[in-house]
Amino acid sequence: MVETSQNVVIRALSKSYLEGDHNHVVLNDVNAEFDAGLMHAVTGRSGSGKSTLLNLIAGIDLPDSGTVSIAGHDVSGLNERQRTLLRRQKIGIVFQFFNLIESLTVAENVMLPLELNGEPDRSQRTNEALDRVGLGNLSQRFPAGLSGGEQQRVAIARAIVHKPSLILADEPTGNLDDDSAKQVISTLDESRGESTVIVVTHSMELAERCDQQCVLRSGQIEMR
Amino acid sequence: MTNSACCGPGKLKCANLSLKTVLLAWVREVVRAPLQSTLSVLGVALGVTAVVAVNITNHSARESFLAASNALAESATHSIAGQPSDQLYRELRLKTKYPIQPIVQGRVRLSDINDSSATVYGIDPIAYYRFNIGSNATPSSSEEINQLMAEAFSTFATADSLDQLDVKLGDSIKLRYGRKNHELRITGLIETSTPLQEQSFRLLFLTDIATAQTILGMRGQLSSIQLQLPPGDIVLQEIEDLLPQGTHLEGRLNRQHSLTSITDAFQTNLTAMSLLALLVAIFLIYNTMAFLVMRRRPTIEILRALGFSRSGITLCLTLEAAAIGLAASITGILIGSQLAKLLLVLVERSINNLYFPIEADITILTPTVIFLAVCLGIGSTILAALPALREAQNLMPSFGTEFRHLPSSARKRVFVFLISCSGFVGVGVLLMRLYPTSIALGFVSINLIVIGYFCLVPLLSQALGRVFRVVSKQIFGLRGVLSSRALSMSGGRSSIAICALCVAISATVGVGVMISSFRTAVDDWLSDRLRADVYVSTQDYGGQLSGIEINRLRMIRGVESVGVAKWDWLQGPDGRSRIFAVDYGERAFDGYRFKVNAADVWNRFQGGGVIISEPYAWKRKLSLGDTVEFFRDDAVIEMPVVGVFYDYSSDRGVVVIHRDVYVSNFNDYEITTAALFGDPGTNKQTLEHEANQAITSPGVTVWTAGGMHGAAMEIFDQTFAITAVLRSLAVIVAIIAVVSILAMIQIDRGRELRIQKAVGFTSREIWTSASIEAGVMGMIAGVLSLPVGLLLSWLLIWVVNQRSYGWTMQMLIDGTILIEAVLLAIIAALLAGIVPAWWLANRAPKQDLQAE
Amino acid sequence: MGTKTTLGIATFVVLSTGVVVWLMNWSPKLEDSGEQFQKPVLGNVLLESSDSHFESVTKSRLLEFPQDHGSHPEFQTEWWYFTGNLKNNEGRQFGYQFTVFRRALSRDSPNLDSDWATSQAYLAHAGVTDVQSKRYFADEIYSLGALNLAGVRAEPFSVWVENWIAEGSAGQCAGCLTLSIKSESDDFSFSLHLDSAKPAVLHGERGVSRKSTIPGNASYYYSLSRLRTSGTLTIQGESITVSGDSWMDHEWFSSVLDEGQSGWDWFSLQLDDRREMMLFQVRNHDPTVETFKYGVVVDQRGQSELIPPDQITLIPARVWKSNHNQSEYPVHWKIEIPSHNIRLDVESLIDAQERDDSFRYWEGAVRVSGMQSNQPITGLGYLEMTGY
Repeated sequence: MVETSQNVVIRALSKSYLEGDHNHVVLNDVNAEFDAGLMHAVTGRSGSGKSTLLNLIAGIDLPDSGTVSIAGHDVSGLNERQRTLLRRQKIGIVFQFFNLIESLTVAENVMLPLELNGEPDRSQRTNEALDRVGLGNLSQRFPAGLSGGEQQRVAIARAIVHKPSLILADEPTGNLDDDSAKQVISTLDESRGESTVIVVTHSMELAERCDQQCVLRSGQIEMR
Repeated sequence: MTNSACCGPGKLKCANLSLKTVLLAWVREVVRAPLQSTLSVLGVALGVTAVVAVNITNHSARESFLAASNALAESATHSIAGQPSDQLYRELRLKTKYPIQPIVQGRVRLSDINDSSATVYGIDPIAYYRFNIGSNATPSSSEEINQLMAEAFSTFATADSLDQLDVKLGDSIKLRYGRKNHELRITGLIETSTPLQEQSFRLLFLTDIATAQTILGMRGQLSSIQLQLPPGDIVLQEIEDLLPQGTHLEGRLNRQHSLTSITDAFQTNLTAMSLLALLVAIFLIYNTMAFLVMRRRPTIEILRALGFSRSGITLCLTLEAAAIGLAASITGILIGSQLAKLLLVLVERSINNLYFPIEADITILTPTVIFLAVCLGIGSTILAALPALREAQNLMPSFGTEFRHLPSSARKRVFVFLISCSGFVGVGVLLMRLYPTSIALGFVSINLIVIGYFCLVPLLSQALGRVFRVVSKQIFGLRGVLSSRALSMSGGRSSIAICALCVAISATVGVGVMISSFRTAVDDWLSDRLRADVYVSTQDYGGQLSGIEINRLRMIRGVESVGVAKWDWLQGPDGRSRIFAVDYGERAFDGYRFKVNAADVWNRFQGGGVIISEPYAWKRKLSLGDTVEFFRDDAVIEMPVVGVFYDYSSDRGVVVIHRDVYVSNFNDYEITTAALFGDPGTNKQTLEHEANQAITSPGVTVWTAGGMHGAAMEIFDQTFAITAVLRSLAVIVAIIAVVSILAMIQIDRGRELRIQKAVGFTSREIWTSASIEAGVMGMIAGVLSLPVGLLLSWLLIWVVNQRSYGWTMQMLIDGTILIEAVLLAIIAALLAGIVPAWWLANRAPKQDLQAE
Repeated sequence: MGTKTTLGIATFVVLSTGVVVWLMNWSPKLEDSGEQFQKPVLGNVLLESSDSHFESVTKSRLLEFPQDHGSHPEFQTEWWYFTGNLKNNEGRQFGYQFTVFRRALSRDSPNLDSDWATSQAYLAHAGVTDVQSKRYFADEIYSLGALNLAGVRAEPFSVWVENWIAEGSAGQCAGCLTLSIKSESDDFSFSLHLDSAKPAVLHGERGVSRKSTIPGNASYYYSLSRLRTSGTLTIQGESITVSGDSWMDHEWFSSVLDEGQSGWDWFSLQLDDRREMMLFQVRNHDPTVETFKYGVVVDQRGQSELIPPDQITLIPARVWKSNHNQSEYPVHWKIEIPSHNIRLDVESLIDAQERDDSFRYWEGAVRVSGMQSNQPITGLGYLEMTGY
C-alpha cells in the first residue's frame, strides 16, 4: 500500500531488541498518523520507545514489521542509500547531544544540508535560517564557544534550512536551562506550517505548545 | 556519487555532492588535534621505518657480499691441482674461453730473520688482472702490477709484512729455497682492506710466474691453475677431458660455500626480523586507523544524520588514511634510511673483522625500497583501514541511548577467533608438510602459525584480564576495577597493544632460545670433536703434507701420536661429495656424537663402513643401512652407512671414511691434515711452535685445538651479533608501537578519566591506576609471549635451520631468557603507559567537561 | 574486533607477508664479471711516453723487408693494423678490423730460469661492422708474450695472440705480403685471405712518420695500401662469403704524442679509381694550436706523393654521441685538398663503431664521395678517431 498523503503515517509498526537472551518488545503494532504541517509531541516514560520511534521514522533503524511513510515514501521499503537521500532531502533532525560538528563554524554547520543537497544561494539561506533562530550575529563562531541553548538553536537552524517536510527533534530542551528552553521552543514553534514537526519530550511546556500530543506506553501509542 | 542507483523512487532528487565543507571539517579536526594526528602518522611511519631500514640494510649488505665475492680469494670457482705444467696452461688458454690464471707458490726461508718461513706467490699479472676484476686486495693499480714483469726478482708485499721484516719499499730481502739463495727487491705494496686479508698476505711475496719458478726451481711447472667456471657438468667435463694424468680438477666450493652460507644465514636473520617488524607495523596501522574512526565518530554520526552517504564517509576516511600513509611513508623513508646507516655500521663492524670489508656508506635508497615504502605506507594504511572503514560505514546516529545494539555477540566472537586461529595454524602446518624443504615456505608457515596463535591472544588476554579484575577488586577495591576495565573490554584496543608487544617479545624469546641452543650445540660439538692438541692442515687445495713432514711431526718431543687425514671430493652417481678420509684413532672417533649409529660403530667403520654428517643425510635422504656410492675408474664403490653424526661445519655435509679403507679403495695416499696428540701435560703452544717449524709445504696452517675452538666460537658470536642487534630493533619498534597504542587508549578514555578527576581522584591516583594497568598489560603480553616465543624458536630450529643447513640441535630453554622477556614486556608497557597517563592526569578537568 | 575486522587483518597480514618475503628474496642477478675488463690495463699505457731505456725514432733508417714486418722490441710500442671493406656477392657491405698491439714493459727480457720470462705484453683487437643491419661487434684478448701464447715472427711473417693470428709470406713486390687472418669470438669470427696489390708505402721521410714538431715523437710507419681480400665472415652464426680490399699499417715507436696533444683523426681511403689516400691529423688540447697534419696519395701504380700539410683541410660536418661515455665523434668529415683540386665527403657507413674495451676509440668503415677537378670520386675506407 502506497500512502500518498503528506502526513507521516505509521501502520502496524513493531520493533523489539534482543537483550541477552531476553527479547524486549519496544513497539507493538503501533498505528499513528501525524498530520502534515502540525507540531506533534510524543511523550512517555524513559524506555517507552520514544527514541526508537524516531529512529524508525528517520530511517536510521528498520522495523521488524509494519510501515512508516513520509511524504508518500515508504521508509522501510527503501534501501540504505535511498533512506540516506530521504533523510538528506526531506528530514531535519535535532538531537539531544552531539548536535554540531565541532570543527565547523556555526554558519558552516547550518550550510551543510544545503551543500549536501547541492542547493543554490547557500550563504543567503544560511543567514536567513540563523536570523530565524536569532543567532545571525554568531555565524562565524565555533560551537564550543556557544552556550547549550545557542547550540541547540543552531541545530534547529540546520534542521530547517533546507526546508524539509519533516523535522524530528529528540529532547531538544533536555539539558537546557529554562530561558534557553523557552527560546528553543519558540523557534521550533515558528517552524511548523512549512514542515511537520515531531518532538519527543519530557517537557510539559513544550508538549503543550504542540498541536497534537501522544503518549507511548507499553509499546502502544495513545493519542490525546 | 551521481549514478542512478542513488536516485530514489519518484521525488527524491539526485544531487551533485559537494564535499567542500565536509573536507573542511575533516582538515580542521586534524589540525586541531596535532598530538593525535602526529601519533597516527608516527604509528604508521614506524612500521615503514622498520621495513625500510631492514630492506636497505639487506640490500646494502647484499651488494657488499656480491662485491666481496669477487675479491681475490673468492674469484676462483675451481682449481687444477697436481702440479700442472706450463703447457697445460697454454692448452687451456687456447682451447677454452673461461678466465684462468696460473699460480706458482712455495715456502721459502728468510735467511735474515731466523730462517722463518715465508711464501713466494707467483702470478701472471695480465691473467691475474682479468681474473680478479674488482678485487679488494690487489697491488694498488694495474699499471703497477705490470711492474712485476718489468724487473726480474721484484716483488710486492703488504705494509705489515714490511714492518715485520723491518724493511721498506725499494729494499731487498734475502731468501733461501733448498740450497739456493735469492734476493727479492720490494717494488710495490699489496693493499689489503681487512684483517683477514692482511692475515692471508702476511709474509707473502707476490712475484711474476717467471721469478717464482726460478726461485722454487719449478721451470715448466705450476702449483695450480685457478679457473672461473660457469656452473654445469658439461663445462667440468670439457676441462677434465683436457687434463693429463696426475692433475685433477677441484671445486673451490669449500671456501666459497662457507661465504655463501654466512650470507644466507645473515639474510635469513634479516628477513625474519623484518617480517616481525612488519607484523608489529601492521598492528600499529590497524590500531591507528581504528582510533581514527573512533575520533571521527561524532562527526560521522552527525553527517549520517544529515544524509551524508556511506560512500562519502568512506571517501573522507580513505583520503585521510592516504594522507597519513603518505606523510608516514615520507617520514618512514627518512628515518628508515638513517636507521639503516646505523644498522649497517653495526652489521659492518661484526662482519668486517672476520670476512671481508663492506662499506657502510653504500646505503642506497633504491627505487625498490621507495616503492616498497610507499606501498606499505599508503597501501597498507588504506588496507588496514578497511576494517575500520566498515565499522565507520555502520556508524549511525541514534535518538536516545537506551537500545544501542552490539555488533555481534561475544560467543560469536570467540568462535571467529578460534576459527581463524585453527585456520592459520592449519594452513601453516599443511604448508610445512607439503613442502618440507622450501625455506621460503618454511618462513611463510612459521608466520602463519604464529599469526594463528595471535588470534588467540585477544581471547587469552581477555581471560587473564578478567582474572586480574577479580583479583584487583579484592585488593584495590573500585580503583582496581577502574584500572583493569580496559583489559576486560572484549577485543578492545588493549588486545591489540598486547598483541603488538607479544609479537616483539616472542621474537626475542624465539631468537634468543634458538641462538642459545645453537651456541651450546656448536660449543659441545667443538669440544667433542677437537680431541687432538694441535692440527696441521693445508689451506689451499692442491696442497698436501709430505711423508717427511709427517715424520718430523712424529719426532716432536711430547707427541704421543699423529693422526693423518685427507679432505677430498669424490664423484658418485649422485654427484660430488666432500669426503674426509681419517685415521685419528679410536679416541678421536669417540668425539663423533651420533644421531643414529649401528652397534659397534667403530669396528664397522674400520671395516669399511662410512659415517655421514647430518646435513649430508638430510640433503641426500640417507640413513643407517643405506649405502653411499663413489666412482673409482669404471667401478662403483659401495660403502654402508654405519652412523649419522651431528656436524655444524658445513651445510653440504661430509662423508667420513676410515683412511685405510679409503686408501685401499682409491689408492690415494695424500695427506692434507695431521692431528697431533700430545702426551699428557705437554704445552700446546710449544707443540704448535714445533709443528710450525716442521712444516715446509706452502699454504699450511697450524692451530691448537683451543685456538680453533675459540676462533670458531668467535665467528659464531660475531655472526649472531647482528641478529641480536636486529632483535633489539624489533623490541624498540614494539615499545614505540605500544606507546602509541596506549596513548590512544588513554586519549580514548579521556572523558572517563576526566570524570574520575571530577569526582575527586587525584592526578596521582589516576596516574597510578594507569601505570598499574600498563604494567598488567605488559605482564599479560610477557606471559602470553612465552609459549609463542618457544614455539617460534622450535620452528626456527626445526624448520629454518634444518631446511637451510640440514642442522638439528637440542632445544635448550634458558630460564633467564624467559624471565628477561617478561620483565622486558612489563618495562616496555610501563614506559609506554606512563607518558600518556602523566599527560592526561595533569590536564585540568574543568575545560574538558565543559566542552561536552 | 568484529568478524570482518579479524578476517580483514588476517588477509592483510598474509598478503603483506607474502609480498615482503618475495621482495626480500628478490635481488638483481649479477652476471659473472669475468668477461668484463677494467679500463686501464694495457690501453692507457700504449701511448704513454716511454722510459729512457727504449730507443726513440730520431733517425731515418732504411726499412728492409721482410725483416721489418717483424717485431722491434727495442721500441716500446708496436702495432699491426688490418682494416678492410668487404662485400658478399649480393653487394651486402661489411667492414672489419684486426689489430695486434705489442707493449714492452721493460727494454730487456728478464734473465730468469723460466719460460715465462718475458717483458712483452700483447693485446689484440678485432671488430666487424655489418652495414645493412647496422650492427657492430668488437672483442679483445691479451696475453704475455710467453709460452708462445702471443708473439711476432718476421719470416715467414706471423703475429698472434692465442688463436687470433695474421700469418703469411713475402710477396713479389717490395714489402708485399700474402696473408691469412683469423679471429674468433662469441659473436663473430673471420677467416680472410689477403694479397697485396701494391708495394709498401713508406710514410714521412722514408718511413719515419713524425707526429709532432718535437724530435723523437715519431714512429716508423709503412702501409700496404691495397690488399685484395676474400674469405668468410661469421656473424652470430651466419656464415658469409666476402671479398674486397684491405689496408695494412705497421708502426713502431717509443713515444709519439706531445704533452699538449690529445688524439688523432686518421683516414685510409681506397678510391674506386684504384688510387688510395692516407691522411691524419694530431689534435691538441688547446684548439687554437694548429693540428699536426700529414697526407699522401698513392697512384694506380703504387707511386706515392706527399700532400703538403698546409694544403689539407679537415672539417667535422656531423658528430655522433657515444652511448658509452657521451664522447662526440665527428662521423662525417669534409676534406679539402686545394693543391690537388680535391673536395671529399667522408661519412661513416654506420655511426656506432666505437670500441668500448680496454682502450676506447672509434674505428669504422666509411664511404667517400667527392670531386676532383669536376671528375666525381667515390670509394670506401676506414676512419680512426682517438682522444674524444
